[in-house]
Amino acid sequence: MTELEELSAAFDESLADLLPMSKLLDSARGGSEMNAAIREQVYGLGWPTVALNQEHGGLGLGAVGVCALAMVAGRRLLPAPWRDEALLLIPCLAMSAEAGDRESEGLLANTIRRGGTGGGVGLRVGQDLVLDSTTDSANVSFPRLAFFVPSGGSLVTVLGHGRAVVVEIAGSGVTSESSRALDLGQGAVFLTAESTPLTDTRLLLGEEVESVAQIWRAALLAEAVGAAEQALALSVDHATTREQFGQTLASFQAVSHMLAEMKKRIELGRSAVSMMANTLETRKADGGLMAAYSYAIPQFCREVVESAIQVHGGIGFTWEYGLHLYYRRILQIQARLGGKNETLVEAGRKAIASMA
Amino acid sequence: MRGNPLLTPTLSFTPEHEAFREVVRAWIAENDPGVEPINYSDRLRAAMLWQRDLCEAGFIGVSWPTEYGGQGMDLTAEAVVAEELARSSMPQLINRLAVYTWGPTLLDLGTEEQKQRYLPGMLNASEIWCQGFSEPEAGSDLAAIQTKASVDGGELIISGQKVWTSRAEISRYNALLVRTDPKASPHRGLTLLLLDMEFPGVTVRPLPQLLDEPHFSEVFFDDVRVPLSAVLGDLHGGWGVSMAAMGYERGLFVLERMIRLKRRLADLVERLRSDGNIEQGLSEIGRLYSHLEVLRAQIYRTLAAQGAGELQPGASSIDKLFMSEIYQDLFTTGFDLLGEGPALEDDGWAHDLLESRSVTIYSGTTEIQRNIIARRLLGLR
Repeated sequence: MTELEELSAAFDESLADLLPMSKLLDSARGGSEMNAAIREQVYGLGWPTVALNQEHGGLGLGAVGVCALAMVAGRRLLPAPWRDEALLLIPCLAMSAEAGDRESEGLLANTIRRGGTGGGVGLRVGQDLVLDSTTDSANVSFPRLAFFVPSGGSLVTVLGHGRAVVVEIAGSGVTSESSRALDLGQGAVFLTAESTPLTDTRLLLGEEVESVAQIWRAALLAEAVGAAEQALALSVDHATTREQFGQTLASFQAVSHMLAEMKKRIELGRSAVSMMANTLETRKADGGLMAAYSYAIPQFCREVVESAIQVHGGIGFTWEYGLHLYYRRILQIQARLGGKNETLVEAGRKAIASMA
Repeated sequence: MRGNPLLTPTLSFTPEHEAFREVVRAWIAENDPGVEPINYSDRLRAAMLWQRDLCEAGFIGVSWPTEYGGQGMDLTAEAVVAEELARSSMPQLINRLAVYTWGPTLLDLGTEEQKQRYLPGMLNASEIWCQGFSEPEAGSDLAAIQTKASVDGGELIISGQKVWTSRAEISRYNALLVRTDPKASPHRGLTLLLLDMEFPGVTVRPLPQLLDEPHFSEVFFDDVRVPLSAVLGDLHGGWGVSMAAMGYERGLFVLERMIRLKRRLADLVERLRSDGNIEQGLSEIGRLYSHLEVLRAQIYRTLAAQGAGELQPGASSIDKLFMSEIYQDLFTTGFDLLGEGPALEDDGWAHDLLESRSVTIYSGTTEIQRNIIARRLLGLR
């Protein structure tokens, strides 16, 4: 086994213990994030430092490593705010600290230890940050955006095009309202910023931001594949044990072909995520490829879980079995990346541009 | 799912591969034979000449060992050639079945004598190959074939019939699957023969397909005598040989298809643009383009696994299944977007639309691919 395989296997095993279905369901039903003790245990595994470079004490994993672990996170339904904290906020805080922001340094150390500082979001096609710069500071505005923020979190990262800002939730000009989002228990909150003052160390620009943004997006895709894969595993298990008409469900060709179609979509997703991750190890991904995958992978994964619910019959529709959590997560990721229609049109535009 | 891989290896093109790509691209640009003739037999002749020229330039079978006419390069270099070839006016090798499937199988399983005899003619297209699998009573159910061959001294005597044999009419050799042990269980009594189609007793009767082109044929065998040296692999070991060949039938073959489809998508975009209808087709173009990009990732994964000798049995059924779906999606979507044009003018789109109906049938139907995925990849019974 390679080092990364060992790391992923250990992470998978620990998450399976720490995040059993019963706890995930409790958190979803209560509408609140997994309790802080579990969060500290997961953070103790090194999760928050996966995307952080080694100068800041991170694991320094590249895109391949981050995507592999994100796939595991998807299988185990790691809470979304922890994902955004590790893959967006932490790398951005590190950049901010490097730019000389003393407070970011402290926040970074604290977040790595316990988590709970904040989350992040990427802007959709056509949206961007509005910056009003003066000589020594800037004001930032952005429209009503949804974030997944850990309970008690104070910061969010907003990814614009070629730039990002780290904004204080309690900052002046920021209004917030919590929301009961589809992906329950993930700390969804809507924020709007209207001329919120920003120190220049919290305004991040350049290639490095773009790289963080692309890895985050790739990780969301990997997470979706991981979640879909788990839904298929449950489906295969169910179809090979549950009997109707005196035979297992899987022995009906109508069912086995559904399972084969699910497998096809997952393996296609895995191939695509692998190629994207390998590309991001050495260079930026082409915009066309990112648009294509942002449409295709979440859509494939969504179809997998829709079939999984069908294969399970009534059991799949129950609260306690929990298949709906994979569905919720994948829908959340699809929406986060722009949604089916927007990503399709974007992929179409990129395709046409590449053929001009 | 524990133990399942998370991410998988993909092809990586080194600077040497990219330099080789430039060489191939420049050569093709200079030697491209121009648009394919519309007439079927003219098209075949042009395709044979094109493969001969490509072979003389050293671009066919580049991953084969040098002693058999190859260049001793890796499978990634082979992918480079397939990608560049797909940009030419004639992207399909006329002898692709030999170059992509039976040549590599011969390299693995053939005797030295067989390799010397058959491989060179595969590369320069002087000897075209077909594959004798399907029969009137055995299409998807390949193990049910009835064409038999009985051992008679140092020879085998073949009698029976094959059907839907592509390019049989112009083929010198047939990779022919026959039943040699009628008492054994269906999979165990089969043998793969390398049959010379010029032997007495072989009759080829072209069977026009739905485009009214004689692309495939019925082939009859009336007590055809072949030497035992024509057996590939072991006598009664034909099932294993056939499955090994099927493993090769995917990688490069599907890669070439994928790039050809990309080109046709570009044609569609161009036509929509000139008609001023491009905005209407954005979502459809987005879907086709995305699926082709995902297919590319899948093929690169398959080729990387093939190159490492680690291709999981059944895994490439995903490639075939998805490629066929995109293939049909592209031409039906184009038909829907292009207005009445393809229905009223012979502009090539209708031809390809009709032809696309074969893709989910040949080389294992879509339903068979799903069976394979269910059994081999999911372990269902």
